[in-house]
Amino acid sequence: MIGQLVRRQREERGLSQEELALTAQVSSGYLSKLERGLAQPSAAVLQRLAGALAVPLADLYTAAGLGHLLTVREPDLDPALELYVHQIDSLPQHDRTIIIGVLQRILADERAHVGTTANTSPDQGPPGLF
Amino acid sequence: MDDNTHDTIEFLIRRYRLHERVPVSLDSLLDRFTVRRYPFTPLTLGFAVVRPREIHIGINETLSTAWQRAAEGHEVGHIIAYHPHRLYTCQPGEWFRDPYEHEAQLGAALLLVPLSAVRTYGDEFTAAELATLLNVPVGLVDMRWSFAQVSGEL
Repeated sequence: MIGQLVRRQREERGLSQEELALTAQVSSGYLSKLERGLAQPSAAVLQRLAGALAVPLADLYTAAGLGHLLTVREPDLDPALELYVHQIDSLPQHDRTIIIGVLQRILADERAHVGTTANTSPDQGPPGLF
Repeated sequence: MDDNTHDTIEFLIRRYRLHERVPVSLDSLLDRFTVRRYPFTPLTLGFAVVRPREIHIGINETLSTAWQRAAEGHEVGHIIAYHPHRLYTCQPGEWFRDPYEHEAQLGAALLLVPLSAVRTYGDEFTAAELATLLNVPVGLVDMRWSFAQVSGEL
């Protein structure tokens, strides 16, 4: 399934196997095998293919039978984290968990100081950075 | 690289005398942030999140020292450049594809690879030897050298 999806997406974009292989940093031979269902891509290869084809990584994961590695939005996720979570969608779940934990701690610290940050917005960094 | 970002990096190098010693230490910049090590997979070199009360940088503790230093420089590069996102993640090779990632990686190269070192490239040292002396990945040396060529520094 992943091979068919990659080939279809490649052809829709008018790319040769060589062009896609170069962009995705894989060999042409490997790409050919992948498209013919003779190779199972790693998570790293899927990530590069997603970037080269400009398709959602989740689509490739699902087609490759790796949908179980995708993270369903963590339950009871702080809405304030939604701003960030989509930026780490392509990371392995293990790494996402670490970063979300850090973000949750930072947000908890900020809430503990509500009132002292009235003059700063989430989009600003600390004043006097350098 | 944006001129303002380049000027800021040059200013910081002078102000904190970053290139007086090698390997370059970014401690004087990193002291302003919360920097922690985390057991990431190889797919994540590091991340940085900018919040009102804290700038948090997380580095993959499983990397070699050279790569950890490069990741620190990369995240500092994002922060210096005031890139639009408030959460930056550094993944291997992303700087070949994304302009913000490329600029951040170039920032790391400018911070960690002094021009004086790049001037020895070819005559005295190979890129690999310079990378060892500077304790950075060899790709960072190449990147700094290429920038020096394009910008007219060499």
